[in-house]
Amino acid sequence: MQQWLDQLIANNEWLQGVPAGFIYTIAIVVVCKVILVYASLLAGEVVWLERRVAGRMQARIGPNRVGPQGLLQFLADGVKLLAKEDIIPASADRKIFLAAPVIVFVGAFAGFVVIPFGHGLVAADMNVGLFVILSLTSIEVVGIIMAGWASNSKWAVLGAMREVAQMISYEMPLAISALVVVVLAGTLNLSDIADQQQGWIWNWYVFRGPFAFAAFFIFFTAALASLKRAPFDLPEAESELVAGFHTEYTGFRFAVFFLAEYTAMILFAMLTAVLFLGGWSPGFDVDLTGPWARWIGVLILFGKTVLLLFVMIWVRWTLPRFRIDRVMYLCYKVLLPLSIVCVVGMAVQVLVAMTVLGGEDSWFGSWLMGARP
Amino acid sequence: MAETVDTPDTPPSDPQTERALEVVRSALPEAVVASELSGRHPWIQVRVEDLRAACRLLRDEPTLQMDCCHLISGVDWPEAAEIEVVYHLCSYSLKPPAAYGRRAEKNDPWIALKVRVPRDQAEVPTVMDIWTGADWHERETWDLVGVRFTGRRELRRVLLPDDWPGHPLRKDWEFPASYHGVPIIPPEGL
Amino acid sequence: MADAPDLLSGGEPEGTTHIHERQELVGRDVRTEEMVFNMGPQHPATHGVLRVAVKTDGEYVRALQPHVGNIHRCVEKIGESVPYYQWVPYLDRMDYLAAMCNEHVGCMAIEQLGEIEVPERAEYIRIIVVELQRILSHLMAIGVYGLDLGAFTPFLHQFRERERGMDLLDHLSGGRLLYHYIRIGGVKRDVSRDWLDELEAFLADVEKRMPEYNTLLLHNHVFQERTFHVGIIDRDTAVRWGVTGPALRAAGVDWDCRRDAPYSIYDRFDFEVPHGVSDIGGEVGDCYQRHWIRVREVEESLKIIRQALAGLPEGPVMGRVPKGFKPKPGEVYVRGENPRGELACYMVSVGKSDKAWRARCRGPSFSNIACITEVSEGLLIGDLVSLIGSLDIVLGEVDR
Repeated sequence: MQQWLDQLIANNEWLQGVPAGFIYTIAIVVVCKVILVYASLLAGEVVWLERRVAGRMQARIGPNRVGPQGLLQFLADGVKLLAKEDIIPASADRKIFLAAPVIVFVGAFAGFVVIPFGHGLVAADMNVGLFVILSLTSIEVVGIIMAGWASNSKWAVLGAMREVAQMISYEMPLAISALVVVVLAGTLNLSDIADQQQGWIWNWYVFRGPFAFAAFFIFFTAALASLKRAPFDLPEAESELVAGFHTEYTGFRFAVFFLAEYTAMILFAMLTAVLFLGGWSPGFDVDLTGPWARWIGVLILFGKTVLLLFVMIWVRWTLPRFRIDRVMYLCYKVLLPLSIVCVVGMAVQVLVAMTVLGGEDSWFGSWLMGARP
Repeated sequence: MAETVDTPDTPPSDPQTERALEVVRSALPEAVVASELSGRHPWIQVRVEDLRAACRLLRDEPTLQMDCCHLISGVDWPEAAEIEVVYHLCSYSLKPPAAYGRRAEKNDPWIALKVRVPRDQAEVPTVMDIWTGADWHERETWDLVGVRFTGRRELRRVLLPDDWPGHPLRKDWEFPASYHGVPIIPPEGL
Repeated sequence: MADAPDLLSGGEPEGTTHIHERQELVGRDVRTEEMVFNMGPQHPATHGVLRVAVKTDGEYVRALQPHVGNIHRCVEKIGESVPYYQWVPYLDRMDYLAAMCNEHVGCMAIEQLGEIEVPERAEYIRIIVVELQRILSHLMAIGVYGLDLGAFTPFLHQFRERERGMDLLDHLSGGRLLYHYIRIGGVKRDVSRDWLDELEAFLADVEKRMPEYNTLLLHNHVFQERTFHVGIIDRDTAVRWGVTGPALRAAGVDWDCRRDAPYSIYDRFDFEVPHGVSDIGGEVGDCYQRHWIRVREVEESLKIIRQALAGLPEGPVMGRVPKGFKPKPGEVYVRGENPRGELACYMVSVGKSDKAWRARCRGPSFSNIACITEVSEGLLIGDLVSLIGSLDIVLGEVDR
């Protein structure tokens, strides 16, 4: 984004009189606001999507009164939650209790700065983008254990305990299966990863060999678990732990947790789409790098995100909940070994492609080693 | 429908209860105080001190195998100044003979065992170690009728609050005027 | 390490040794503390106002004590204080998900006490509504069990069917949940041809859709993982604690009051009594088998209703009940198979009175819930929810 700003300053005489730092600051604030609003609106609509889809699956209708087809339902819900009394339990640890939702919120939203929405449309084009996103989402754990501990409620503590155990465990298969893509792409930069998957549908990383294909499912499952979505929603299993770590939260603070949860869902859906499903690639060879064409790319990525979100919702309303020991079993005895096998296998695949199959010179070799053939 | 001819003069006796009576009589000749073998509700009344022995007998007798204590109820008889505790026992291990189900009067193979204790000193030995399920039934009988079961752990109230005054199913129980400052207006007819 | 023997003491059920071995390993390095939870009275998974004090060690249940009585409504005291016919609607309120079955047993007890004959047609209608109620209650139990395990969808699908069934009972009695339809001496209203047609359509739909619902729960792999070998109530435990109904049959006891101690006219119908066997999956007496029994009982109830519909005779639906009904002195003990277990009514009359001297009820849930103190040790908290859900208790009946 800095390049783009520099270009803008260079081309505009009026801007040259203004200190560059000032322009950068303004730009950062504006971009952050845009992303924040985009993500919050999207999160609100995902809530609506979830409720409508769940309604269809359960032989009922779902919200359809506020706005066309109930699209503005999240505004009504937000207003309702704002109007609720903000209760802080008398025995709660006040400061931590108040800080927890903020940290969870930050953890969920901050990841969007490195997500490329289209070609070149990224707030911070970092070389360690993937790494940053995985670290930022881990911040959520801190907020959640703060919420659970500060509530001074046994249910909340137990929920937070489960949450932490589950999220930390699933970070491992999540990160390792993402590493498969890194091995393939040779970079942690999300824009570059997406760029390399442009072209025909077989260029998407999910289709580049069996290891990448398996890694996609491992990544998505681990993402479901670290998002605490059903069937891994043990931290807030309503029939076991009442509401888990946010049992004691009401009104706006609860809304923040709720919003953060759905935002994290969108973030992971987008990340999956960028890592495995070709980012903004429509599946055939078309140039989406132009100044206007890239906005079509944004729509395509958005479509893929919604598709993945739909799968998450679908899974949630179909399956019963796992039990905590099965969740841990799945993580440590199934997904973790599998993801390690995938990484090693992918490394071997790339090595073979580079040495035996002629590397970038042959189409097949470059396809197997992750470059854009 | 019934295989035995039922006439008002010679009502058929219930085979299950008859057998139970035999078993108890042969082992504890003194135990049985009274019994009723025919009709809809045949029963055997034993002395309180023999209750546990009789229960054990009925449970272990291979032809009866009363392995479940179905219900324990207390009945207050203020005129006799006695409280009757009724044990309804049944067996899930033994099926009743097919002919049994066709009897018109009583087609259910349970046995009713009764004990009577004085009202002011209603103490009955527990049968919880014989049938674990008697636990809550005994607690309920203590709670509502005020029969103290001895020899068992924690005879707490089960349905009413721990500090509720008296035992409501005793016939002379009166509604308290208030409970924790909340006035109680007895419903009409009670 | 000094703490470890304390954790291990206290009667541990068999089959949980692996948990305690693990516990010992943890105890050596980490100091763990036991924590007491109050599950309920306002808890989503306790099916009402049950309060369970659970002593947990991390996720494992160490000990547990159910506390009941929060909605005690003095049914027995009322039974002694109001005339017999006024007591019948109170019976509805005991097990509010199986009101017809309660009325049936209560009315049978009072009829036996007063030697009242029930007309043939009324007996058939009673069987039809009672079995319909059993289907509705089991649909609820099956769906809510899914909800306990985190599957929301089957619950609402089953409610769609249940709604239709409740409409049927509504047409008949004017109430959706609490009917007061079965009266002393017969039933309140005769059934119409239209109603019977609607009932048959409903039965056909339930029969068609049960396999669909079973794919959502019974045959679902996650569901099976949650319920196989969990909360095992074996035969001995079940019988000792007086557990009845589907939970008793799941423990492998082949006993059903309707077949083995037939009351009303159940001896005229041909139906199977499902009981726990090891080849359907899981283990005899575990949560899965209890669920399976309920699914099978819905099928059997469909059979019974169809037979009753085929044999429904013409005639009056109300017997001769003397005005100012005062039964002779005597006692009766009547038990009947409710969806949740055996409901029994012990009534004592002293004569010359229109009120019972003693009206005692045995709620099946009361005995069923008592046994969780013994079987829950060593379970995970998630399994505890699974166990309580599979017992399908109704607190209205526990507390009466």
